[in-house]
Amino acid sequence: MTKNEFMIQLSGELHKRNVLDAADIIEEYEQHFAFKLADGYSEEEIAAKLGNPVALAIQFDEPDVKKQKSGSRPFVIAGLCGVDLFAGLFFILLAAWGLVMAMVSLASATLTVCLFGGLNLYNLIPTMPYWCGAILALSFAALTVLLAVGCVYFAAFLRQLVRSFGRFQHNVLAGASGKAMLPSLTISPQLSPAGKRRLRSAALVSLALFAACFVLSYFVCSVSAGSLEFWHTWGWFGYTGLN
Amino acid sequence: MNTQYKKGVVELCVLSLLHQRDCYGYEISDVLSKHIDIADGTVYPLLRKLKADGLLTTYLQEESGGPPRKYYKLTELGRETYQNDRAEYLRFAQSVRKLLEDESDDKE
Amino acid sequence: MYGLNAVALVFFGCINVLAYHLCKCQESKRKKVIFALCAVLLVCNLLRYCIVYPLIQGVVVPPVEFSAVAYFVVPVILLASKKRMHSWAAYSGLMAGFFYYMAMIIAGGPLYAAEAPADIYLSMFCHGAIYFCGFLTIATEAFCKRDAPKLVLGVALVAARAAVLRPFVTGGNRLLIYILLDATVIRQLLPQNVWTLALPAYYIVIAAFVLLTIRGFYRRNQKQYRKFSSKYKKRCNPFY
Repeated sequence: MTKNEFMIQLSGELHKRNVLDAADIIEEYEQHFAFKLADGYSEEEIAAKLGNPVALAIQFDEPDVKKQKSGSRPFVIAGLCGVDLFAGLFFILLAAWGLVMAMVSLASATLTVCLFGGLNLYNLIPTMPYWCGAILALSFAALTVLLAVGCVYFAAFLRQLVRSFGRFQHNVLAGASGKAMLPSLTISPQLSPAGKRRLRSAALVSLALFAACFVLSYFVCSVSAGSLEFWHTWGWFGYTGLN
Repeated sequence: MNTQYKKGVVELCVLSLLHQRDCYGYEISDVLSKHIDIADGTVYPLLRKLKADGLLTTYLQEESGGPPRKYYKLTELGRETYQNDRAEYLRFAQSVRKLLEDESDDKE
Repeated sequence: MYGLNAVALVFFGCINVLAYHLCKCQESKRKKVIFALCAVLLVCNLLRYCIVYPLIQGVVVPPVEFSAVAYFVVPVILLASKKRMHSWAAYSGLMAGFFYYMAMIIAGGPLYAAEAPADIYLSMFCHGAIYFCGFLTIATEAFCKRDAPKLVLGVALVAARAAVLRPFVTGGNRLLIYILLDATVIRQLLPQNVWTLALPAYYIVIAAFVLLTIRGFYRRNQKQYRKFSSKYKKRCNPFY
């Protein structure tokens, strides 16, 4: 069919279905024809490629849903501020816990280095035979890795929690002012599958190593000291006691 | 192929094009019809539906030597929907492909 | 004091686990790891025997111990990629590494507790490295049983070299290789009148032990290679 036949049929179908912005739609198709004609196609080809005008008009006939404007915006904002305060305190608490884990990991790392190197800073580390200290150092090294993995996972979790809360806030405000709502975010941490696998294997290996080395170091220390409570024999806590 | 399914996939393609840069209606229809076998007329109702759903917005831009063109642009919702749907589709397509290819392998 | 036994046990376990996992990886990754490890080992020992001992500590220590020879033999063979010599490299590495770690695990504390930790760490690293390379090689390459005489010859050569270099080695009687060659164990435990019988018997036992380990080595290679590769790709070429 020719361009005129196409446009007349299309416009007739659109008006029959009471489609809004019919003029806009017609203009888009006019532009389409103009471009294609400039490229050298014939009107017949273009109309054929566009498809049946009736079928197209049916696709344009979508029911439009109008959003309700709410008049309760100030109350929503007030409520949101209260929730924000509470949530803020909660996030501070979580962040503090993450910091504590990181600090313990750091302390464990320093202990490992001191035990391996035989350094005794400020005489804080109780004396023990070097090799007993070495195996204890191994267990603390494993603990460092385990805690570091925990910190990474916790940080990802906290970040996702904050993002999800931000999205919730945005949705509440949008709902109150009639704007579109974005999908709510999950609170599980978003890590790549490879990252998840690496974290999981690192955590498992370091946990196994820590447990094994810690138990082994207890056995070794007690065998070396010749008593089950080797800390008494070596006078660790300032009490040599009865052997 | 099922038309409803094809329509969903064409939607994803439209979002993908707009994710790279803003385009006007004819551009999208032209590029798509070169890559996929669809009636180029169906792109326009699709664009209108996506706009009504809040995934796209439009703005007019002056063109030299012609009327102002209506450009389509992804909204925040459109961007997020695109990321989710793209990942879902790629996963789905990969599993289906594996299933279909394994079936032909067994026949050998 | 017994911590050294425990540390050696943990290290040995970790080396075995790592080697096992690396066997399952691709050839290219394995090659890179072996290359890096051998390079470090070689450089370390060259520095130690050529610079640290003569120039800094002022004593010349030629490497005569079976392990010390292995420190050089294993990386050189593996780096130069001479396929036919790989069996000798794997054998030296496995024997030296395995027996060192067994000694450490069973009696390490009392034997070595007096030595400086740095020396022990270095020694554990070197032995661990050659054991690791030996483990990887035996599990991923097919050895030809016709190479067995090479291994016997190698052991004999090392022993002969140690005997020849004895005047130049200070504190020689304490080294394991000299203890084995002199049959110190027999001389200390048994009264003198049985030595004429005991000494030849002792040397026969040592020789039999070496031959048995070589046989076990090839059997292990067959089992491991079959496990880690899908087919026996290579057959021994007698005219190579």
